[in-house]
Amino acid sequence: MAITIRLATIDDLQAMQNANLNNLPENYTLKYYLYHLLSWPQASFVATTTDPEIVDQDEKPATSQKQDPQYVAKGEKVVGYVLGKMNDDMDSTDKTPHGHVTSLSVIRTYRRMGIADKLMRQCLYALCETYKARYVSLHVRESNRAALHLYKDTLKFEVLKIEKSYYQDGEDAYYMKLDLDLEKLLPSRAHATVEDDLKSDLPRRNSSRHDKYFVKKVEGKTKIYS
Amino acid sequence: DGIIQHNPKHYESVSLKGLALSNSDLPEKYDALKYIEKACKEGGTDSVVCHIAGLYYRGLKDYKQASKWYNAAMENKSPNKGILRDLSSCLTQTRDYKHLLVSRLGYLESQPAYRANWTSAAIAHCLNGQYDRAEDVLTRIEDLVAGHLSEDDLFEQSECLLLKNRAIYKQGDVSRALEHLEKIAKSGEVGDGAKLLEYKAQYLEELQRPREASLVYRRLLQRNPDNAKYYHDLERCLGTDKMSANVRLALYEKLCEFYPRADPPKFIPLTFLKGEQFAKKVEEYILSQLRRGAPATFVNVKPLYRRKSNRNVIYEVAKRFYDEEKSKLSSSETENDENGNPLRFCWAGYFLAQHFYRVRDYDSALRFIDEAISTTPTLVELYIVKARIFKRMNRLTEACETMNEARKLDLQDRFVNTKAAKYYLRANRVKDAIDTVSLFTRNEKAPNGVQDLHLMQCYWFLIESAEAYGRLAREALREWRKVSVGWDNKKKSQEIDHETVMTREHLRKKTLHLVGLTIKRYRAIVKVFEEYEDDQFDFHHYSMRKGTSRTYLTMLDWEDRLYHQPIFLRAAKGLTNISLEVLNDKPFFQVLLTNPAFSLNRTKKEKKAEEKQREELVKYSKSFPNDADVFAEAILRELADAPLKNAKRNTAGGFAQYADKGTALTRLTDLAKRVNDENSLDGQEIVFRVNQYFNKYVLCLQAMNHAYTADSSAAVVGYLYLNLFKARTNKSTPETIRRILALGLKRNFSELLAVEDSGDSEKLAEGLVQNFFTKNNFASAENLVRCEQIEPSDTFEKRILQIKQSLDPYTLRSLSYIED
Repeated sequence: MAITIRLATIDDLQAMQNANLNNLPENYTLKYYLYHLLSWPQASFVATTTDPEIVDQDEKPATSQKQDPQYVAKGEKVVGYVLGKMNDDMDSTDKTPHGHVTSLSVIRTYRRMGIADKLMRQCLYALCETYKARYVSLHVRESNRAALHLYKDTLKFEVLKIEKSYYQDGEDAYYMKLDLDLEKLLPSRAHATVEDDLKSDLPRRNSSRHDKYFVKKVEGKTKIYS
Repeated sequence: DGIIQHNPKHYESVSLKGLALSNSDLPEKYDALKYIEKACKEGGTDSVVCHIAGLYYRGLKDYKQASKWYNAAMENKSPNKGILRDLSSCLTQTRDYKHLLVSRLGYLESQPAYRANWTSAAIAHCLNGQYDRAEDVLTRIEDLVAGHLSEDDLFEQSECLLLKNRAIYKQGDVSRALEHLEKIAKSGEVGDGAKLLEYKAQYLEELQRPREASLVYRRLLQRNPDNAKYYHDLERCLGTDKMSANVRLALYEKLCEFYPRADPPKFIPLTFLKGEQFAKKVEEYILSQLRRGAPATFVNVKPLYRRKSNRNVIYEVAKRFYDEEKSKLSSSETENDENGNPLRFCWAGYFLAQHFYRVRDYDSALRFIDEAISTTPTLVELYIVKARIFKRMNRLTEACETMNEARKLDLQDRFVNTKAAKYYLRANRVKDAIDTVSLFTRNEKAPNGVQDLHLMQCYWFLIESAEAYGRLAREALREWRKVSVGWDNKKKSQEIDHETVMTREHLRKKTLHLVGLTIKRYRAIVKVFEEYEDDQFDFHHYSMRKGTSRTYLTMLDWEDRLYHQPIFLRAAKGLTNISLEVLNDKPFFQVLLTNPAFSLNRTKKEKKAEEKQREELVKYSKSFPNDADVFAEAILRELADAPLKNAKRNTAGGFAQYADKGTALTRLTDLAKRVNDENSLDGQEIVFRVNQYFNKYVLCLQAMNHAYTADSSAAVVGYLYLNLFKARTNKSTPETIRRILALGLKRNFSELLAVEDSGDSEKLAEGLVQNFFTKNNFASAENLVRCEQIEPSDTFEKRILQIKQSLDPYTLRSLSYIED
C-alpha cells in the first residue's frame, strides 16, 4: 500500500541511516541513531510501505524480505523518517525543556503525499506529551524550499534567526522554532471536521442492516453494535 | 619502568606497562600482550593485576577474556566495586546472562543509592526470564524514591513503571497487568501515552474484551490516523475483518470522515472490494493522487495487482484520465488553463509506464514514458522510471545515461545522485559511479568519496561495489583462463613478442585487483556489521542510567539477529562464493598471484604508464587512509595458500577445529557461524558450502534439512541435494559417513533416494526438477545452472532453457555471470 506511519524501532535504524545517506548530505554513523532511540525512544517515527493480503489474490505477497538496505520486513520499506530528540546540550542557555529535530527525510519518489507533515506531527506530539517539551527547534538549509514551506506554512514554525555557514559546505541555515500545546497538537485534529466521539458504534447501521452475515454475527455473542 | 627495574616482580607495574603500551602509539605497542601475560601468569592472584588485564582485554574488545579477568579481580577481593559495572557490560556483550545477574546484584548491593543499579538488576532478572523477581526489584526502588522525584527524574520514572508493567504481563497474569496499567495511567506519571493505550488494547483483547479494546484502538487512531496497523487491530476487535465487504466499507467510510487526510482508511477497502465497488473506489483513490501529482501513485496501488482482475480496471482508470488530459492539452493553447495541464498528463503517463513495466511489457512502458518526457523534459521522476525500464531490458548503458540525465536536472538532490551512482555500478562502471557519488560525500582528505562512504557505513554502496567488482572479476577471469591455455608451451617456443607478454601481465594484474576488490568490499560490509555489534557496548551502562530499559531489551534482540538480516546474507553469500572459488582452485590463483618469472623488459615509458595507472587505481580503491592492502592481495594470498582441506580428517566437532589454521579459513568459518539461522535459505546454503569445503558432510546434511524445513520446494535445496549426492557417491568419502548420510536423508528425501537406487542419473535429475525447480524464477534458474555445472544432464539443460523463456533480459544477464 500505501503508507503507514509508526514509531521508529531499533529494527528501523539501519534503514533510516540508509535513507539519510541516500537523501541528505549530513550523515551519521549508526551509533548516533542508537543514541537517539535509547535516549528518547518515543521521539522518532518512520513511514513505511506495506504489502497487505488482497482478498482473492492470484499471487501471494513476497515470501521473503528483499535484500535491500531500505527494507525492514517483508514488503515493508522505509520511505521517510524523522529523528527527534530533546535538547541535551549542557551549555545551552535555555533550560526550559525543548525538543529538536535532528533529521527529517522523505524519499523523493514518495513526496507530495503529506508524509513529512505527518511524521512531524507525530514527533511534535510525542516530544510534548512524553518529554514535556515547551517548544521545538530545528535548522533548515536556506535553499530547501520544500522543507521551509512545510515548517513555516504548514506547521507554523517561526524563523528566529539565520545562522551563517551552519552547514559543512558553507550554506546558511534558518533556525526555526514552534511553541507546543498538547491540546492543539493531536494529529487527527489537524484537518478533521468530524471527530470520533469514542462512544457511538462505528459502521453505519442502515448500510449494514442488509447484510445477512452481519446480522447473524450481531445476534451471536459479540453484540458489538447493539 | 623505574619500579620494574628496581623490582621485576612488581606485577602491578608490569601489567600497567602493558596496558599503557596497548593504548599508546609507540612501536612497542604490540609487546603489550607480553607484559600482560607475564603479569597474569605470575601475579594472577593480585586483584590489581587482574583488573588491569580486564581493562586490557576490554580495550581489545575481547569481552570474554575481559570478563574472566574482571571476575578474577573480584574473586581476589578487589575493593574497587566499579569493576562489577564494567564486568556487567562485558557479560552482556557476550550474552552470559547467568553471571550477569551476579555482577548486577553485587553492584547494586554496593551502590544502592542509584536508581540505575536497581533498573540494571531488574533487567538482568528479565534477561534470565525471572520476571517476578524483576517486578520485586522495581517495586522496592519505587517505594524508596516515592516522594523524592524531581522534574528531571520523571522520564526515568515513566519508563521504569512501564517496564514493571511488562514484567507483570510477562509473568502471564494479564488481568493484573491491566490493573497495574490502569493504576499507573491514573497516577499521571507515565508520559508515553501511546504505549499506555497500546498495552491496554492488547491486554483487553487477550482478556476477551474486544469491545473495550476497540474503543482503545479508536483513541489510538485519533493520535495517529496513519498507522495502518491500528485499523487492522480495530477490525479484529470489532470482528468486521471476517464480515462482508459492505460492512467493512461502511466502517471505513465512517473512518474516512474522521480522518480525511489519512491514507489507510482509503486504501484498505481496495484490498477487499470487488467489481463495481472496487472500480469506483480505486478510481477515486488513483485520480485524487494523480491530480495532486504524487509520484508514488502507482507504487501505492501496486499490491492490488496481485489480484489479476484488478489490473485492467486500474489500467482503464489511468488510461481514461490520460486520454482526457491529452485531448485537453491538444485543444487548449494556454498552459495555465485549468483545462490543459501538462504535468497532470505527465503523471498519468508516468503511471501507465509503470503499469506496463509491472505487467512486463517494456516496449509499451518505454513508449508512454517517452511521450511524457517529450511533454515535460524537466521532470526528474520520469527519467528515473525510464532508466529502470532500460535496466530491465538490459540496455544498461542507456539506463545509466538516462539516470545521469535525471541527476543533471537536479544537482542539489542526493537521491537522484545516489540512483545514478547505483546504475553506474550495475553497468559495471565503477569509476563513473565513484565520480558521481563523490559529489555529495566529504572528501577533505581523500581524492573521492570512497573513504567517506566506508566511514559512514554506507553499505548500499559497498554491496553494489562488491557485486560490480565481482562481475568484472568474472569477466577478467574468463579472459585470463583463455590467455593462459597453452601459455607455457608458447613461452618455451619463444613465439611471443613483447607486446603479448605485456598484455598478459596487465590482464593478470587487472584480474588480481578485481578479485581482491570484490573480497575487500564484501569484507567492508562485514566490518560495518561488526561495528554495529560493538556499538551496543556503551549502552549496557547508558540505557540503565536513562531508564530506557524496554528499548534497551529490543536492542539486545536486534543485535542477536544482526547477522541474519537479508542484506547481510546477500554480502555473506557473495563473500563465501568468491572465497570458496579461490579455495577450490588454489593452484590457479597461485599462478595469478605470481609475478612472471621472466624479465618483462619494460621500457621506461611503459613503467611510467604502469605506475600512473596504479596510482589512479589506488585513488579509486582505497577504503581508508592507512590501508596497506588496498587490493586485498594479502587476503587473497592467504586464501590461495590455505592449508589443504584434508590435511587432518576428523569427523567430530565441525569446522571449529580448523580455526587455528590460518586466518582466512577462520574468517570463513566464523562467517558461517554467524549466518547460521535455521530459517534462512541463504544462511543454510552458506553453512552447507563451508562445511562441504571441510568435508563435514553430516553438518551439510543438517544444513540441508534446515533449508528443507524452511521451504521444502526451495531451489537451493535441490542444488544442495545434488552436492551431497556427489559426495556420497565419491569413493573417497568414508563408508561410515555414507551410511549416516543415507540414513539421515530418509527423513525428508526418501522419494529421491528411491529414484537414486535405479541408478539412472537422468531419473534423479527429473526427480530434482519436479521437487525443486518448478518455479520460473531466478533462484530456480541459478540453482539449476549450478547443478548442471557439477552434473551435466539433458533434463537440467532442457529445464534451464524453459525457465529462461520467462526471465527478463536483465535477470538473464545476472544468470550469465553464473554460467561459464
